[in-house]
Amino acid sequence: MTIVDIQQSSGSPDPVSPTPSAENSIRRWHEHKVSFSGKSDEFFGIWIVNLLLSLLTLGVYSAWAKVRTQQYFHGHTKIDGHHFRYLAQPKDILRGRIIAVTVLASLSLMNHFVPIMTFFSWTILFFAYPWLLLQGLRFNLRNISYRNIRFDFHGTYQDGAKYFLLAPLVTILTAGLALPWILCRIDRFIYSNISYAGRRFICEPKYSFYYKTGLFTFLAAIGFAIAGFAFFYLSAGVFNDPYTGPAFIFLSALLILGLFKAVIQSIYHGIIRNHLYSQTQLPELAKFNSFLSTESYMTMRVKNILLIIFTCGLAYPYTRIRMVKLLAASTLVTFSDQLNGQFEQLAEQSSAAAQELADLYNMDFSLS
Amino acid sequence: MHGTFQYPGSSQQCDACLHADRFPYIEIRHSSTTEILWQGSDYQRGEELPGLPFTLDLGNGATFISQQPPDMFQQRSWGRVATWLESNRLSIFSSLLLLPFVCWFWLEHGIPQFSRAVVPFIPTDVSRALDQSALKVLDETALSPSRLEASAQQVLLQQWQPLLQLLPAHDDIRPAIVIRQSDQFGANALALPGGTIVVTDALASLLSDCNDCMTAVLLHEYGHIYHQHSLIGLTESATTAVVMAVLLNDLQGLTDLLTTGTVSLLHANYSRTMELQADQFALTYLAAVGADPHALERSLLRLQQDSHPQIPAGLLASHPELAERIEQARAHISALPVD
Repeated sequence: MTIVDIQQSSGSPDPVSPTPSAENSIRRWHEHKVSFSGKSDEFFGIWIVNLLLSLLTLGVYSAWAKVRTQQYFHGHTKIDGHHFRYLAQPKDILRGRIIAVTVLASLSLMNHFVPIMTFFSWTILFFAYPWLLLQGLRFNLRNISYRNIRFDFHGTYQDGAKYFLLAPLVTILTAGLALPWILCRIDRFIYSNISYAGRRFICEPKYSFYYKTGLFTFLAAIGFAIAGFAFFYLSAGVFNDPYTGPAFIFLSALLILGLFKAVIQSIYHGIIRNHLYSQTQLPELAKFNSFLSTESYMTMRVKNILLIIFTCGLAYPYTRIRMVKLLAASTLVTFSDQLNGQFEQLAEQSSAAAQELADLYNMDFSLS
Repeated sequence: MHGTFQYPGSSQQCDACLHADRFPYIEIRHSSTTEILWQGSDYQRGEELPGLPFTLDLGNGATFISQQPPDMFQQRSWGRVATWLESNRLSIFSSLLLLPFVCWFWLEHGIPQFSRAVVPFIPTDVSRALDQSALKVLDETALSPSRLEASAQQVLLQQWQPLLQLLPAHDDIRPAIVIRQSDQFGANALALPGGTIVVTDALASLLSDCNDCMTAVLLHEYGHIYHQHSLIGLTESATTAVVMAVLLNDLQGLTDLLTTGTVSLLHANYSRTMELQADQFALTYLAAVGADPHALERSLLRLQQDSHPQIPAGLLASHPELAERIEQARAHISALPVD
């Protein structure tokens, strides 16, 4: 495929041409939009049948439901005509869930049975938390493949503990001032530890950008909070009604909190996603670009929440498909044409390592 | 059949053709050179999902992908059923209709039955520990030390002691009465799982002129302990939360539940069946301890008068079927043999 072809297929206004650097002068880059071909009616069938089967089996089938849902979403996500695959086995997910539930239930019973153990069980959970988080990431990435090559995750427990145990303490000690710096470090830690075809991603987000985005999000949150209070103040007449008041307060508080979360998260994540993708690359093989419009992202999240509420959850498949379509359409991936030639040898190293995994490492302990 | 062959552990691929003349033995050949890329019968069909291409995972890690799914490659039996269920309009529509019914069935029957089956295996020590932590939380939040005179408290406690000898024991749980002042609970009594019965000052005052009425209330509470109602209620809310956590992918919900098990115990309402069962226990043993068989009915009527017309407050909030209970008490007495 030539560059001219790609410019036509992606419809991008900026042709991607070799940059003047020595490295790129011998490598041509091809730009591709990520496409998502899932359909709401197809996913509705998968969702409702899997939900029913999960309920009928008291949650046991949910492991199969998760795999089928992930297979559907990954299978319909394509770059350059190749789709992703989700390869996890439901039995591994079920095994992990049984262990997670058993451990948590035993710790809880032990707390009641031997109260002095409460401290120890909380300590165990506290120190296990980063391990569980990284384990979930590793499990998921190792089970995603693109063009027959799996992703991997290399984050170590020491780093995980630093970012997920120590960093929250630093945030508290600095009264939140260090939060953007920490979020930037966490993103860098996660993305830099993902590998594909034996190569690690390089991710170098800028602290200053996180501080700017953090400040903007904070101001937006204050604005939203003022609007929320104003709403309650102006609706005081309705709230004072002894019969409908409490229910009205409860429902509007729930709705406002839901909308608050959607608006604030979409502002932050929308802006950060664009920056993070532009700062991430797979050396010599791929570059990324996100041009997600914060406004469309926010509008879609708010609409999705309202749709889910007013249809008692039945619109969930439609909202999820719409969201994934928007995110896919806002993402560009630029592949190097050296990609094919280099993959084979590197990929063998990667899959050999994957086969050496211990059984325990091949389990997903998360309940999601 | 034409498709794409992906080399094992590699992004390299080529156009290929699948030959299945000696099915299940297959050959995959390069489309232009006809070189054999893979052959054998060690392969597995990938899960079939709407809109996704047909995928064959070959024994050496290679993959064959084609847009035209051939009939001969069957999925594993369950995969076939799942695919059919997920794409058939009738099964989708049936799932939609069945979903609320299944939710109702689990909440109303499945989870309570499961809890009743599990509770007998909970050791008595666990019930006692739960009992103590619940009382501690109650003392810190809704209860304060009794303001009743020491003599009135003594009368109540002395009234209970001889009854204990006549009642059936559950494991080695021996009920103990504690008296507390509480504005929040009003005239009320609570049974904790380890055998503690909390009686409020307001209840003791309300029934101070009728010893048998108090006996009836205490027997009712002991009925809850004997039938392990609060443990069943706790197991029900725990099971519901675990199932919901798994279904809704919400790990936070699960951890919340496990850390606040005690609180859920306090908020757990007894079901209508549990109330009637505890009443039946009281009615059975009122006669055995030599008390007036009408005492339960009388105490229920007094509680109803006391809390009326503010129905949501106090005892009635957790005892919504008071009329039905009074009816049961009357029916029990009319069925007694006339002396």
